[in-house]
Amino acid sequence: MESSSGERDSLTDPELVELYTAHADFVWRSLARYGIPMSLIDDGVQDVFLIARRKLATYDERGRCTAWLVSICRRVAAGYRRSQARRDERERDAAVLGREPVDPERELAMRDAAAFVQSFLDGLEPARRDVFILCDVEGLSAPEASQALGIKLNTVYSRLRHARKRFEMAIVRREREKRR
Amino acid sequence: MNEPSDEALSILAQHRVATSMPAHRREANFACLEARFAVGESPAMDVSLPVMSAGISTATIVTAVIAVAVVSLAVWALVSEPTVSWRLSSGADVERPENLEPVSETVPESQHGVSVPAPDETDEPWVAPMPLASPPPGVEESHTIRPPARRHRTGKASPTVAASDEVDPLAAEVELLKRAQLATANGHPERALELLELHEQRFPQGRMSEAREVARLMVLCNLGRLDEVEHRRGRFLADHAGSAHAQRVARICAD
Repeated sequence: MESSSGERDSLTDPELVELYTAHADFVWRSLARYGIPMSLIDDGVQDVFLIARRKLATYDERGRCTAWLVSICRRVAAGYRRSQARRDERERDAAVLGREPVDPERELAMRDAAAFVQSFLDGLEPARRDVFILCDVEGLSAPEASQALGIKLNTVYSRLRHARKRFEMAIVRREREKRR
Repeated sequence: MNEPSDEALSILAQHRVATSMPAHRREANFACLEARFAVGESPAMDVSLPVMSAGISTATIVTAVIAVAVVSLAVWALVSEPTVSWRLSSGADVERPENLEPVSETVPESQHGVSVPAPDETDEPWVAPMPLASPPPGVEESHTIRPPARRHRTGKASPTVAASDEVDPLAAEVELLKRAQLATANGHPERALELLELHEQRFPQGRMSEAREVARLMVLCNLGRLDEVEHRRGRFLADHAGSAHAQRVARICAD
């Protein structure tokens, strides 16, 4: 790819850079939560952004595209889950272990929090879990979650209310156990 | 609506950080993503998406698609010639026109001048998701360019497309970078460096040379080879001041 001046054209696509920079962590977390095996999550992340970049022209709401990315993540993860159904998924929890170490105390607190939240999410009804993750973990608004999940806004509010209540109860139980 | 307590928000924030993508994989993934995007590779798990663009209904889009199909059919009927008929037919009983050359499935190494050594056991597991074409008869696999997976939904690849992929040196570049990424992710940073070095030897001015340097800086950073990081970073920023990678390069091992 040579330009007329002889300089090599850059292959970097600005929109791809922008998308990836803003949403890479979100996509990674989403795919991990949707159960994509850790051994395939890198490919999954790349697939999500390849699809998103390719379909970007058809997407008008550029201000907040996490809701749109969620729908891509869910489908990509479902595809990988299907293709990997027979494979061992022992590495599923490796996301936390794969991070760079920070200071030990903070690392311990983060691992503890991550395990606690994951345990809570595992015990939550799937429909409520999806809403809780998008709104309270990822910070989407209720209308954005409604759009991403294809459900009514009132349903989002209802599920979120229940999930939050259960989460607060779980925190109280956790504190009680810590004091023992 | 009951709002989450401060403690709940704090726990959730910690969870978010703890489950985020590791920095070295973030960079390696972008290098690989960029390479795949550059060669127009299809996602391994392609998906159909609900249309979420504002103001365009599904009915409108379906109508537009049908209209385009009808117009295309009409145009095709008007202008179709034997060449088109041959392409659309099975080809078994139709004489091929002169202007269509047969597409050779064998690409001798000397023709394109690039080759990628066969993956070894350090990165082999990561190559598994990529279905690769069998090498042509008489050609060793290690001398065959293995293009990035282009998945055709119909399962019938156009021979012309397949041939152009095979001769594209960029595909060989991408293959090497992917394997370097896989080696890194599999805990073989030294092997990743070897593959990146190999890439530099074969494609010193390759189209993925910037992505290669970013990947190499990340590996060196993770190995704690900070002097090399500093040296290479300085050279990269001097040589590619306007690069889209510059900001990311400046942050590698900067903390």
